[in-house]
Amino acid sequence: MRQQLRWLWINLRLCGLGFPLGCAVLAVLTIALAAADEQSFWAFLAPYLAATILPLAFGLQATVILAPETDPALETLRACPRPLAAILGDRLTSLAAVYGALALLALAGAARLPEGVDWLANLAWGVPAAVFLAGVGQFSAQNSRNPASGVLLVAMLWGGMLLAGDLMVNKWPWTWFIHLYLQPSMASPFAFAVNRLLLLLAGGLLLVWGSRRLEATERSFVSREKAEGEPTG
Amino acid sequence: MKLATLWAIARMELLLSWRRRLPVLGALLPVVTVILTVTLILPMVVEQDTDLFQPEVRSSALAFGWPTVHLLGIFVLSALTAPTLAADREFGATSWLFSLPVSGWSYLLGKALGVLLAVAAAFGGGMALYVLIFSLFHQPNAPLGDLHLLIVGGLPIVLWGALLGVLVGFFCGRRATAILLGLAVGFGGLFLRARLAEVLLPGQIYDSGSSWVLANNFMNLFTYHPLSVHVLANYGWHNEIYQPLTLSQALPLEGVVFAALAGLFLLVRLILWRRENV
Repeated sequence: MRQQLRWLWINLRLCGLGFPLGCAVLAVLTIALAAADEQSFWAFLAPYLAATILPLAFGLQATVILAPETDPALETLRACPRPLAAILGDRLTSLAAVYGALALLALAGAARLPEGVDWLANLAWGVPAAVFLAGVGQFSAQNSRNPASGVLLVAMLWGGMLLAGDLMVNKWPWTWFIHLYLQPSMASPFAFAVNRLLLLLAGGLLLVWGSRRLEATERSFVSREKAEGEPTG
Repeated sequence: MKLATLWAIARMELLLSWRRRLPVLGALLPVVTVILTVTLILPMVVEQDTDLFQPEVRSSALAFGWPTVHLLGIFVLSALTAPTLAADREFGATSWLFSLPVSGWSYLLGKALGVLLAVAAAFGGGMALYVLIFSLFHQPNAPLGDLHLLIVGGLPIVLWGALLGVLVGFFCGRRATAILLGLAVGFGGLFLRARLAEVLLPGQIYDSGSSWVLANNFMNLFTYHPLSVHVLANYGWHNEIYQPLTLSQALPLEGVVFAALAGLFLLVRLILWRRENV
C-alpha cells in the first residue's frame, strides 16, 4: 500500500504540481474578491469554481501528461514492468484526486459566501465536463503526438460551450446532448441526465482510445527491441 | 550582436514554426473563428433569417465575433508559442548554442523574430482568406473597415500574445510545462490588460453602438482591447451619449502593455548574460 501511494505521488510530481497550485491560488483569490464585493464578476464565479475553472484546468493538465513528443522518458518508462497505458491511468488518477480535493476545498470556501453553493449543480456540471475535456485532450495529444493541439482543442471547446452553448441549443435543439454546460431548465430531467451520462461515457471512451494509441507507441518500442535482439522486459 | 547570426537563428525558427504548424495554426485561428462566428454563431442569436453576406450584417458580425480574436489571440497563442525556448532547454540546445560565440541578443531576438514572422504571416493569410470569402459574395468591394479592424485591432494582440508565450517559455525546462504556463500567463495577461483599461480609461466608452455600451465594464474590457474598441467605435455607428474611444486614449494603454513585454524581454536577456560565451 505504501509503495502504491509512493508510486502515485511520484506520478503526480511528474505531472507537475504547479498548475494545481496556481488553481488553488486562483480559487482563494476568487473567493476573497467575491467576499469583498458581492456584485462583482468574482461573486458570480465563486460558487461555480468546481464546475467551470477546475474542469478546464484538469482537462488541460490531463492533455499534457504522457504525450509522446513532450514526455522525455517514454523509453525509460518502457523499462518499467507496468504498461504505459496503466501509467497514464495512474497519472490521471493522481490528478483527479488532487483536483477533486481542490474542488471540495473551493466549494467549502465558497459556501461561506452569502449566496451559498449548489453542490449538486457543481457535481453535475463539473465531473462530466472534466472527464470529457480530459478525454478530448488526451485523445488529441496521443493522435498528434503533440499536446499543444490538445490544449488548443480543450480551451476552444470549453470557451465555446461556456459562452455559446446555450445559444447553440436554442437555435438547434437537437444539439442538447453535446452541450457541456446544459442548463437543467433547457431540457427535461431525463434529457439532462442522459446528456451528463453521454458526456461521461464519451470522455471515458476517448481516454481509453487515447491509451490504446499509447500502447501502439509502446508496441513500436517492443518491435524495435525484438528486431535488435534485446530483451523486451 | 552579429546580424548574420541573428538572421540565421530567426530563419531556422521560422522554418521550425512552419514545420510545427501550431503557432501558425494559432495565428490563423482567430480569423477563422471570426468567419465561423459570422457563418455559425451569429445565426444562433439572430432570430430572423438573414443574408450573412449583406454588408450591414457582416460588419456587425465581425464586431460580434471580435472577442474570440482577442481571447484566442492572447491566451491560446501564448500557450502554443511557449515551447519555443523551453524546447531548446529541454534538448540542451541552449547550452550547446552558448558554447559557441553566440550572444544572448542574437539568440533571443532571432527566436522572437522567427516566431513573430511566422505568426504575422499566418495572420496575414487569415486576413486574406477573410477578405477573399466576403469579397466573393459581397458587392461592391472588399471590406476595408474589416481590414482596418484586423490590422489595427488584431495584429497587436496576436503579436503580443505570441511574444509573451515565447518569453514565458524560457522559464520552463519542459515543453509540456511551458504550454500550461503559457496558457495561464496568457489568461493572466488578458486579466491585467482589462484591469489596466478599466482603471485608466476615462468616462464611458462604447464599441459598436448604443446596445453595446462598454461603460468601462470589466468583462467587456476583458473581451475587447482598447485599440479594437477605438476601431469599432469608428465602425459606422455613432451614439450621442457616449464618447468613442480616441486613438490618443487607446495608444498609451497599448504602449504600457508592450512596455511590460519589453521589460520581460530584458529580464530574460539579463538571465542569458551569464551563459553566453562572447
